[in-house]
Amino acid sequence: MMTLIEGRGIARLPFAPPFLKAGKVVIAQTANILLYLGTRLGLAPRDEAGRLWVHQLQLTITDLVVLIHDTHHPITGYLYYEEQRPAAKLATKYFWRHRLPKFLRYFERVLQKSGGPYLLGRKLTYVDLSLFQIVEGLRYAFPKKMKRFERKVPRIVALHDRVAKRPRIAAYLASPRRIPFSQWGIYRYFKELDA
Amino acid sequence: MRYELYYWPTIQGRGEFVRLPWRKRAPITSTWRGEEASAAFPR
Repeated sequence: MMTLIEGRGIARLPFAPPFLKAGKVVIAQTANILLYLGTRLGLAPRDEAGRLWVHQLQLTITDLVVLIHDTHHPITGYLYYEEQRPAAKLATKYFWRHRLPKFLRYFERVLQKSGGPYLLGRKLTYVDLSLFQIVEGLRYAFPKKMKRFERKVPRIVALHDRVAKRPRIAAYLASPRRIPFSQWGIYRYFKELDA
Repeated sequence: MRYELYYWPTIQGRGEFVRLPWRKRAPITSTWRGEEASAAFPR
């Protein structure tokens, strides 16, 4: 992996994992990888407008992921959480008061307009799986806050539950292949941030 | 086409957003060079 990151033997450098090597092509950035894989996995529309719509939603998820990470590391990733705890408390306060509601209510509206149960309507796409992962992560990092908030976004919760019941997803989640949440990932649990 | 996904093997990270859709169906060869080898992308 480091050989690729350092650029030995490839012309188009990935910035960081995850990245996909597809034959001789190296594709980096999560949303970009999914844009490439979407139709190949049968998880995106074939028409251009549809593909761009899913990609647009995925880019919005990308923005949200950064905000989630910044609740526990709002100043820099080079300092420990304990070294930026007051800032983390403040960031978390405004994240839950303004930013998260804005994002999740947006996805709730998209679901309302699509008619559900998925973001594009009746057909599952990769961004539904990403929204599922957002809910899973928020439940891990902020169990109390998320429990209270979920009643405000019933369509997202229904989507989450529907995805979780899909046989292959359920099998994957129950398997050791699913890496557990931890205190080293995007989502981290700190009791004082979930107060 | 040979596909290889590179991600940090010890955390879900952003790689999980790519690993999840691959759960649904794995019609193409997928490999992971490293300690998680065949476990990462079973066909």
